[in-house]
Amino acid sequence: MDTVSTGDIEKLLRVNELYINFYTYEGVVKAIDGVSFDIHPNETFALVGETGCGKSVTARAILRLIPTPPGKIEGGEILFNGVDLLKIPEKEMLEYRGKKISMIFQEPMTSLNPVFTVGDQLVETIALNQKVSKEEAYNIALKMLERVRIPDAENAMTKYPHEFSGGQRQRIVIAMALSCNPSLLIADEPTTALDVTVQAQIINLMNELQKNMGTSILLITHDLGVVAEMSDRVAVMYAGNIVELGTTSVIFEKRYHPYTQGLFNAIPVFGKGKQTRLEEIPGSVPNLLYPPPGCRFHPRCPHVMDICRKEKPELIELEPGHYVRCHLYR
Amino acid sequence: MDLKSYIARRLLLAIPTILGVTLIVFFISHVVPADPALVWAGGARARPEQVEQIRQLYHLNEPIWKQYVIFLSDLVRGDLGISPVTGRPVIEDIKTYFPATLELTIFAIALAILIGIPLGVLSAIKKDSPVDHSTRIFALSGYSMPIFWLGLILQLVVYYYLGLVPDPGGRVNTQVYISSEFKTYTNMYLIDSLIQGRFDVFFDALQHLILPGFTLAYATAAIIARMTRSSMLEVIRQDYIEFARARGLPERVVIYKHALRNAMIPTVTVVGLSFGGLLAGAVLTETVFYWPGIGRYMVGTINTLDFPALMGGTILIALVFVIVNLLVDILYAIIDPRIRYG
Repeated sequence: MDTVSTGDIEKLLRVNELYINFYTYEGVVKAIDGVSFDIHPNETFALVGETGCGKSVTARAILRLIPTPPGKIEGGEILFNGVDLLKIPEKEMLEYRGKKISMIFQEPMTSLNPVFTVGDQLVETIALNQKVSKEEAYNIALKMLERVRIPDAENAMTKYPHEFSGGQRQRIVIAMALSCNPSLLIADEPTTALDVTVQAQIINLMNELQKNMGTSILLITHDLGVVAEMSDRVAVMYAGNIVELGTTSVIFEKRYHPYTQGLFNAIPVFGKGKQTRLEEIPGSVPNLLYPPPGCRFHPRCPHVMDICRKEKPELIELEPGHYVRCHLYR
Repeated sequence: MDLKSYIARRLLLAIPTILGVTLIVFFISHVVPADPALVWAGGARARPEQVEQIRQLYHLNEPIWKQYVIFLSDLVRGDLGISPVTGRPVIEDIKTYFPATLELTIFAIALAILIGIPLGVLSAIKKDSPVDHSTRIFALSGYSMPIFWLGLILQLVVYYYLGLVPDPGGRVNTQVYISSEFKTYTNMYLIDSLIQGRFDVFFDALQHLILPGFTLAYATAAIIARMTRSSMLEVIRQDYIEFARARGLPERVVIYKHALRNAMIPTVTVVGLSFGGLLAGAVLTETVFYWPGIGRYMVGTINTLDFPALMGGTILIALVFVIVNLLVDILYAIIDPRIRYG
């Protein structure tokens, strides 16, 4: 059994043995292959991996936003405060989306509906989720915009999304997502589409709001720099599996899994100069229509052994709270 | 630029448009190798001096460019001339026939919207379901069926076999119309009857409108349904729709508020274009249903070489196209704030 236990610490979210397939014309894409992790209150937990490794799918599954068909959650549990979100009816799910669990997306440019004013969309969300009058919702919205430091909030309420810059839009999206005081914020690549300076502002803003509001964050990213600045713990995903999970400091320091090592070696380091080529991981992400047998990373792994081709490795606890899915450490 | 000056500018631009239309229609109609004066005087049996008199009256002996100048100078004075065929001022004829078509067209376009948009939305959110497939069949038959045939079949089934509507001929039961003091202000019976509180006339006119209205609406409803479906499918894949769901909005708000408004932009174009097209092209429906509208009137003017009426009708239809296009552009900017008048 793959279980990632974090002892007695209270758990806000527990994803347990999640399996998700996509049924396409070409065949069944086995996108998520037994993913498990916990998120504690007040922590930022990062899911890291290349495009297509399943991190966004996992995040969407928590809010049950996976389009079905073609997607199908084949098994597992998503326990939020002990309630299995995969078992409740769709109507009850509305009590979680936007209220207890919020989500923001990668593209701030397209996350807001272009034909309604920012105020309209904020007020709509707040009035609906908090069951307050439009006037109250308006006041809450104003406060939220001020909180994310949108200048001249009152005026901003009457503007349309296209009248704001990318960074401002992401702030507005964050304001909208946090307006109902969720206990969990899922941030899917929140800074990827932004300029570096704006990225830093958004990261600082999210860190600050998290501290003040006590919201846990599930951070989805491929950017290890963002991980370093934001997260307490990290799970590295590869082809639908979590291959390494632990605190950010340990992962950055030790990197047990060959894939994690490859990921870190692919980061350019300032001062090394242009002479040294960046190391890349040989090969490419496997087609999950036909995932490799055994360890899904074995075709690209520099340390591949016979057993890797036959048997899927279990998650092994190498240090307390630090897990690796690799036959090297058996 | 603000809305008022935008509208003013567009209306000014309409003047050369309409002039261009009159120029083309004027010259094409006047170069036909037939003698209009002879036709108007009654054909081959007409006395030559009578024919000559008509020629004088309508300046047919002048060179064609001079005829056009005379036409234009009358036009700027608001004079469309007198129809040599009906003997009435053209403007009076238009006042009689145009509202009938306008009423029919507005009714048809409203029907097309009411049928087309919900069907389009439904088939988009239930893509590849039986609903979607039946809508596709409905739409396909809509734009492949000849209008006159549809009109005849509807008459046969709904009137003759089922007896659900009154005698399909004209706009209102002549009994109702003649035996009562029914006044016409706009000459659109639905409106006139409501103004006078005459609900008997209203329902009678409505019953007369249903079959021709549906006949005219069907093809447009089909196009609107398909257009709405494809733009809905496009819109519901957008990030802001997923974010709207993630914000906890119920599905009906997501679809009918957030998706539909965005999906309406292409649909508005289709509705606008169809409106002009329906207005000018209602002639088949009008013919099948004996509807005394501008379409039939215009066909008559062509057959009798009734130049003044032909030009009057042409200007009217060009004007309607210009206005509808302007309305569509204004509507765009209302639906989508990113579009600015420029």
